Amino acid sequence: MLLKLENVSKVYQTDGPPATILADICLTVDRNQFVCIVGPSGCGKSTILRLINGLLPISSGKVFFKDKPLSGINLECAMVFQNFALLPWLNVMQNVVLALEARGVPVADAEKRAAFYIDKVGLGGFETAYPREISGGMKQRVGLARAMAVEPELLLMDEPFSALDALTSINLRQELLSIWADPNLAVSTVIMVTHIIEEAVELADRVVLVAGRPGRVVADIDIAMERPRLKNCEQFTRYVDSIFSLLAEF
Amino acid sequence: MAETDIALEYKHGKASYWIATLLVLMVAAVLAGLLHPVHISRVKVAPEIWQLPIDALWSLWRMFAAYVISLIFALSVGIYAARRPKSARIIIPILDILQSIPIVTFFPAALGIAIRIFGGGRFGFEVAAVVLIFTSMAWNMAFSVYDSVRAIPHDTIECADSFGIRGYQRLFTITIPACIPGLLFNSILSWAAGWFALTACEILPVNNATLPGLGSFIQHAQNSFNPLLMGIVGVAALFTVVIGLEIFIWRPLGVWAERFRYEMTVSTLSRDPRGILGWYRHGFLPHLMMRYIVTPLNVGVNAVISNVRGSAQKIVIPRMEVPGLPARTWFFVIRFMGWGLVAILFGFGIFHVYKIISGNIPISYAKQIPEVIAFSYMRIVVAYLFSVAWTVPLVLWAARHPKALRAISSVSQILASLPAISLTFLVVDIFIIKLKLGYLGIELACLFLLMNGVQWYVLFNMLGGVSKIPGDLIEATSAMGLSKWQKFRNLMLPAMLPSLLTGSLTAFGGGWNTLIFSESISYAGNYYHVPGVGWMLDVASGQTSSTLHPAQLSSLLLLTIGALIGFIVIVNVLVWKRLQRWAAAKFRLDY
Repeated sequence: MLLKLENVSKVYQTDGPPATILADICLTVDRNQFVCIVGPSGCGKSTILRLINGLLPISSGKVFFKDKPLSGINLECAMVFQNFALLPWLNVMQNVVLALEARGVPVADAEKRAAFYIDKVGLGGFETAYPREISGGMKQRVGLARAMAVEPELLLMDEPFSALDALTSINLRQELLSIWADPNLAVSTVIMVTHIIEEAVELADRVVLVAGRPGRVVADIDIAMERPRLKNCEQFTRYVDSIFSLLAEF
Repeated sequence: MAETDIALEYKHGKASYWIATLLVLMVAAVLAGLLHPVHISRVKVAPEIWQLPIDALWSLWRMFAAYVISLIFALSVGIYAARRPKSARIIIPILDILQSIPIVTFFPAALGIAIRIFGGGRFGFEVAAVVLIFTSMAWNMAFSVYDSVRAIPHDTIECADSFGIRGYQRLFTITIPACIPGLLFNSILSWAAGWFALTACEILPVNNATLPGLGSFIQHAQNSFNPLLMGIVGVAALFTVVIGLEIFIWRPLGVWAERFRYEMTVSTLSRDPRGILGWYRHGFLPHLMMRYIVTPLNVGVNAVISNVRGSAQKIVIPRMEVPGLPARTWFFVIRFMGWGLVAILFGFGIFHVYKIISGNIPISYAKQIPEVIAFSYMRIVVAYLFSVAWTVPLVLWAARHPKALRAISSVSQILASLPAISLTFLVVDIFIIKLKLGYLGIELACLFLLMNGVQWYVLFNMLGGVSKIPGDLIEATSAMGLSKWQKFRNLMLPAMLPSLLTGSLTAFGGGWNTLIFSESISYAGNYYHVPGVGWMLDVASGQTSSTLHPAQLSSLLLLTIGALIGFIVIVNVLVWKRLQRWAAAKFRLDY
């Protein structure tokens, strides 16, 4: 068991009464799993990721990572952001190297590792390009390379494809799956937040539904389909429909 | 100070920048031709405490008058320039130059011109003062309006077009609301600069009288029985007025202005959850006022306006048919006449300048001009470096503590409004009299006053820059586990560099302004000065006893002002514009 959330809640202080974003979230994630968290907007899915990463403090409950309670930023996770979060004044290589520098990797090794992962995401040859010179899909690949370069135990993805067009997303989903399945690459466990149900069913081993205000875990569904999954087969459609109907009550 | 893409504009219109400089110099030359030597004397009047409220009101009225004129100017010029890119290519550089020149230093000259036009009485004096305060307030507000109008999302404009929203309606429902947040921030800056100009105007006595006001109160305190005490009382009064404005006007306005923002995030700098705005909305007294005074007034005014608007819209302006020649020829003729007029003005100006200077140059003074400019520049650089040394770390630290950020911005708004001039007496008292530091004391006093005129611009622009760092970049760098130093070097410093540059540019402008009042101080009958442009201008406006006669003074004044403008513009072009261009290109946050 890699990650465990026990009755985690998150409350925000506002001008009026305090706002409870998440209530009693219980979640267990094992190694080598691909988990998708799905739900309508505003129910706190992205907040769960930030709680796991340690970017936000928990209001109540406990988070255990590798059986140890979480304290501060969890450096064994790496996050891929919805709007890429690249530093505009650094080129592709420098953006990836930055994450490695933060872990104290010496510069020469950092550049070698960065070059390897940049190549793996298909951006070989673009190392000296600046973010404003590359497309959205390429920017997100840089984000992915940066997250993978630190070889994290857990990869967190916050709606990674929602800022991209449909065709690019289709390509990137396939690439993500092949990266995840690749035994030579460190990425083994992924938690992805998305609001597109088809995407969740296509990619994940498990789909966790979070809905309501405050957000709670409404259902936890195992997707027992072999990959590659065909989007027009009957089993796929049944999974999607059942998730839709579960969410329709919220 | 609004962050116009001046640097990028400059890239496209280098020629227009030089044309703009030329235009400004021409106007200056013409105005110089109207110069009338002004007899400036020392006035020995002791202030009385009971005059304080009246003085405060006089000062406030001047500030409001200048502010209203600045507002109208900023809205007209800013919106005009934003709608016509071709005109903007000349207008923006002109505003830029005017912003860098220390106009307050030309107050004696402005006085001379006002007296020529309005006669030597009080009215001319007041007009000159209001005009001068206007020149310290208007430019950054105009830039802000220009930026805001250009930043209106294209979608909104298309929507307005497709729904047929035109003319006055568009102006009042779309254009002006878009300007409000930027205008508010810049109004606060402008008022701070305005207090400075105000005190500068009130200090100078003309024809044995000074304008009644807080500035002159503080200045005359040195003639009273207890100079230090009276001076402190005057400053305290000024302080109270500024704090009052902050609490009752700027804060509530700031919260109200938030609703006009196009970005979806709320600025942390102006949230006021339970403060004065709450009292405004729910308090008993405001409630009464609202019900019986404000609302009926509102209804009445609205009725009048809609009547006027209704009848105005019925007026159809017929399309002008110009007979005879095609339109293109007429345009050519008009433009030719326009440039001809400009050339004639230029000729007049040059002629007057020649008349003033020829044969009248006091060589012994004039040849010191280059070296005094160099001395003064070095002083400003030192003050600037000291300012950066304390503001940058402070802002970087405060960037992570939103409450501290708000506190700092409020406190600094108030402190910035305290014009350095009003503190001259205090500074002289401490450094020179009490500590007996001699020449070093004068330099230190000058440095202290200079810093007051420089540091706030750096601080304010940095504070503005902090709120521009995108939240997800901050998150990403935290998630990556970057250490504080790494975050500073990789995220905060680059992201705030454009703001730091803009702040530095305005800081140097503020430095020149403060210079004239820091380099020569008269207190309790003694005259202290350090060699510099401020002292030279003092001499040239006849404020120090020298062996020069009025014609020589005028020509010295002209030469000094000309040299100063030339120096500032050259440094601007060679250094600041290049830096701004580089920073704007490399560190843009949108990609």
